[in-house]
Amino acid sequence: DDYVQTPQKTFRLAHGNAPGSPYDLGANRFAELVEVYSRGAMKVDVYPAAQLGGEQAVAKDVQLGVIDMTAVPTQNASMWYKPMDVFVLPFLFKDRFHVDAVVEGPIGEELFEEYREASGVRVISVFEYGNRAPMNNVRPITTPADFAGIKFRVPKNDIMVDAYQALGANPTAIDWGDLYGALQQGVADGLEGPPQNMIDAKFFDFLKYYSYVDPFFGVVIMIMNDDIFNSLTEEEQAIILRAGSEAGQYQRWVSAKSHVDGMERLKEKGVEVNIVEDRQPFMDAVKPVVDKYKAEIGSELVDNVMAAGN
Amino acid sequence: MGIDAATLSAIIFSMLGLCLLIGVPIGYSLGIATVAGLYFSPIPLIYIAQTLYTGTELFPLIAIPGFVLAGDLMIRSKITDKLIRLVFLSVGNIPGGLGVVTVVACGLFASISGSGPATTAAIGGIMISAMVKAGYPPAYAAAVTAAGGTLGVLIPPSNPMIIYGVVADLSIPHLFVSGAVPGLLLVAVLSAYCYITGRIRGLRGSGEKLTLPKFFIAFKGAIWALLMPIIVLGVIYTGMATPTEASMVAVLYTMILGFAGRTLKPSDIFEAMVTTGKLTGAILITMGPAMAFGKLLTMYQVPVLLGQGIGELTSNPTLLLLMVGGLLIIAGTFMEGLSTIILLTPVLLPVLKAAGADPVQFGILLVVMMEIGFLTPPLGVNVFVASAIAKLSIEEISKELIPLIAVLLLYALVIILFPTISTWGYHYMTGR
Amino acid sequence: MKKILTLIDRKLEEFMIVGLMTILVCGLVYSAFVRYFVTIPALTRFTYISEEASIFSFIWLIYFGAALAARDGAHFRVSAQFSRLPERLKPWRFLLADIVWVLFNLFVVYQGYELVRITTTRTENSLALGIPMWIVYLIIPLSFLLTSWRVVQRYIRGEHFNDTEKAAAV
Ligand code: NA
Ligand code: NA
Repeated sequence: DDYVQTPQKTFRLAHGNAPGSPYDLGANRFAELVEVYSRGAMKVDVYPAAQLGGEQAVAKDVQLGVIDMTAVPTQNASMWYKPMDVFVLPFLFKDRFHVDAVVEGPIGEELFEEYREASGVRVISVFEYGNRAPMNNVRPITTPADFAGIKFRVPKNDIMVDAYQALGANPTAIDWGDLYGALQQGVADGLEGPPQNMIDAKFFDFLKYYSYVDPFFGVVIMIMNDDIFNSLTEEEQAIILRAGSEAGQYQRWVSAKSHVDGMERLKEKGVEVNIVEDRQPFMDAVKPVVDKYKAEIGSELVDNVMAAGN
Repeated sequence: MGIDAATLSAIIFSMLGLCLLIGVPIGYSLGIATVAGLYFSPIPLIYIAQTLYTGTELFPLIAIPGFVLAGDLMIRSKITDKLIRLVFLSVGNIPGGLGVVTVVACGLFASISGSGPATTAAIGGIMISAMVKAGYPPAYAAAVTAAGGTLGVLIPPSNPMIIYGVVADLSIPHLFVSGAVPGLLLVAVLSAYCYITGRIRGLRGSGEKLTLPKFFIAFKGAIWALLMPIIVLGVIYTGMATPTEASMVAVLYTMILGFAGRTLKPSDIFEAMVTTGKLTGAILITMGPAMAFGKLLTMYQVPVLLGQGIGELTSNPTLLLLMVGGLLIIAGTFMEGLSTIILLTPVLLPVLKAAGADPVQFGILLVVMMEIGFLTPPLGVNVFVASAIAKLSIEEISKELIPLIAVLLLYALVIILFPTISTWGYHYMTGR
Repeated sequence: MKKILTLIDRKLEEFMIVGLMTILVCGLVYSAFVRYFVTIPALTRFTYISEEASIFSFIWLIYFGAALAARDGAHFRVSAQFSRLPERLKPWRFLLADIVWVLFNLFVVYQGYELVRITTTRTENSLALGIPMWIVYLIIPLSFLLTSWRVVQRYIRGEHFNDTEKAAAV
């Protein structure tokens, strides 16, 4: 029949998280929507679990046109445009309404357009990694003083490293390939990330305390090679963007839900979970870090993002 | 898309075969085959340059030059001579005794390293020259070490099991425990192989009689060398360093010993580093092209199609595992082990689960097949490491390698037919 | 001048390898040491530098090592198919393979140059050291060019006559 066509155009979408993770659910939703809206003329193949390479390598592949699309956390894609690191500023967002207001509003639109010009890749959807909270096996974190002396594996990003240093922790670099064993043997005392990540990567097997205070909120951009995007018809472009927007909303909802479920599941696994109600002492501790990077990122942008939460 | 998966596979595999046949170095053959496939696909050719870079960006592999350098320095500083003397004296009278020591040493080292080639590098540096000195055929010595080195991925910790645990959503520590039983069993099997072949071929040491005073003197002489594995073990189990970092701590320790004992000159270090660099280049140059080759097949959904094809043939779990085993033998010949697991697990696991196979058993099978892949040419990383240390060509080692590969294949068959060997540990831990 | 060129030709890979191996040893020992014994944040955060320097050095080490292995005829090949070749032809048994190999290398040199060139058109710095990534990517065109030269050089020097026994070994 002529309703469902054989695919005319197939796109490859790679990401670095496990099958069934919030990333993967969002990516698959995107693939379904593209297929439905194009009545089968466009198809998206999803490659999970870093099958096509690590996050930065795949982002570069997208820039070079080797892979069509990928979902990547902003700090692993900011090498082409520093202001993209605005999302990495500690305690930037008040809540998810604030995130939505920024990434779906005029601030996001302008930033992503500047990013496209600087990088040659286009942001077609915004996912989330979510609230990155510390997990360690020394002590539960209730006040900034509890960070003292704990060796935290923190991603290779100046702002994140500075923030953990300001909180009193010892930030340290450990490659992903060595990370599991390193945490198991106590080379590092902990790391930070959303609850779902601790479950997917099975860190609950030896890390005892998960403390829900989130210096960072992981914003993930789904990027597409701009030349490939521009080679599509207007109708096809509209389909990609519509599917991207809807899949993004869905993914952020799934991920938000996984935070609530995730903390329950961590408790079931025997992890001691505590929720920090008062963020203010932590925010005060990292205030100098925000001030330090404000100029580098652009103080107007930072102010606008902050104001969007009011 | 340009061409379909079947055409792409036909192009790149025939190109690979052709290049190997005329004698192009193995890593570069994989690269040429990849470029041939790229040429007919719409993927930009810059893919090859980019993947040659990212395909080598694998931090844990740094342990390979680390342990090779440590071993080379130990030999140059004559630290190993005393260790070898001790081993000779202790097991020189047992047929195949040095082979058994090699296998057991690999098993011990495997309890700190999660990598096959790194284990081969660490043990081979010392034991290959020890066996050659005792009159063992060099090819035999290299083959036994290459095979023993595969224990690195089966005895916990294990890099592939970590990846498998995440993708298959299984507990990694429990998987580790599951690997311990088949791992120790394999130590016994390989030791038996060394004893039997040693007996048949009359492989033994000096025939010197072992007495307690002699042993004591030899032990005292070897104490600094014996401390090395203890230090490496200690560094890792006290949480001082990752195995990758520990390899360099081993280098530093050897240098300090060599300088303290005045047996090591700066020129020795220079030469050892150059030799290590050359070895690392010849062995790991294969990584980038192998990654490019595997990724291209994946981008054309070849693993997915294979998984579906196998799933349609049968729904008997044992038959399925046998077919998957066959597929993994083939994949293991030209693909790097970790990539194979990353690429094939998400594809094969659903098929096997649907048929009722135990995912733990499949995980252990994957690792055992990966061990075989370390040994099978053309891309057999353990063989590369062992042959480079023994200064032999892969053809020269092949003859000695074939029976060992056969042993491992039989072992894989046992793993398939008796699921309990693999699953016992896991289910004991989870109480199911 | 000629002396310097000769020295570079003879020892380039060796000097690079020793330098890179030294970075690897120092970098990784440093990481382990400060993390365990010195828990001063200002020093532990330097592990980002040592980790990145190590991985870059490792990649460069592999490719300089590959060029050195080409110089010494130490790459792994399948060669059993040539075992029945007459003795006087044996030194030439890899000639066709080496031509194909060099052509591939030159192709990679061009694609690697493109990778470097495209990267220079935009800002892209490494995360810890902050060095422009095109410098790091330079290893691809550079080492494949060097490897090509080493393959050709063996024929110029007649070294392909010496490797009839041990061709595929390091
Ligand atoms: Na192991
Ligand atoms: Na193999």
